[in-house]
Amino acid sequence: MPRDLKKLAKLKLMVTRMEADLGLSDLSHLNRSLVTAVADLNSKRAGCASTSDLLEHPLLQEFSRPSIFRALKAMEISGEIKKVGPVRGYYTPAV
Amino acid sequence: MKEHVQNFIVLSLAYLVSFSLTMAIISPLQSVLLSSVPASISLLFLPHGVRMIAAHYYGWKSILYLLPSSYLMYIMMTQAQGDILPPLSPLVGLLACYIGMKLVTTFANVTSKDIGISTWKWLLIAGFVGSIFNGLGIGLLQGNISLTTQMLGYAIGDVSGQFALMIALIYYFRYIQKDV
Repeated sequence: MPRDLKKLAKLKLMVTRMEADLGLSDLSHLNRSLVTAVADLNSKRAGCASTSDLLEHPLLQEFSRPSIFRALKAMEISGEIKKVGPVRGYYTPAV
Repeated sequence: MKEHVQNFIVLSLAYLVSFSLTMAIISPLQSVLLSSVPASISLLFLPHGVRMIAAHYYGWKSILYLLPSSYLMYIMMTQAQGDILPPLSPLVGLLACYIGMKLVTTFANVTSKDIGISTWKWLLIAGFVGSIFNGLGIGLLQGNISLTTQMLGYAIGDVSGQFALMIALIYYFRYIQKDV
């Protein structure tokens, strides 16, 4: 991911957190945690977050596997995250 | 090089737009609604948010990116209202924001890579510290270093402006997300 885009993603994540903290968000708790986890893994692992890494992410431990998969699907459709690469199960935030 | 030019253009535009909004809309409204507050104190100074966010993501380079637009607005303000602030005040303002950010992020162990819950709160605290440094720096230039109520007024205006800008960013991101 280009450096500028990374900075924009960080800025967006920061204001998303702020939005949630101030109660201005219409995203669910799971969605917010998922976006943050994807972005977190994205910055650590060569530009994408795998499903298996997401399932083990500390932010998502309170949610069941089916809930996470459902949220991933819904967020992919709504355009909040997007799939990357030719192999299934890799995501990146859609900034 | 292209990256620096892009950063320079984006940050300069953000600074000029936020400054223009402050002067064209917020200040006149303030003088009508809160006439007891001196005109030299803006209670919602949006450009401070641009300075602090730039300092958070670009560090010392933010000073270079924002210096031309800061001086442009300084010259325009000086022509419109007379010599209110010393000529070095735009540079002092940017330096103060960088030092405030550096101090607070070092103390809080927050970097531009962090996406933790409290990052935005630390940014606001850094904004307050930067604003106090700015006031002290301008006081130093004017030969009068003291924590005055005017300095507190500037700090309140800077931090509330920064907060308002960050709220505006929330709605901006919502808007572009819907648009995509």
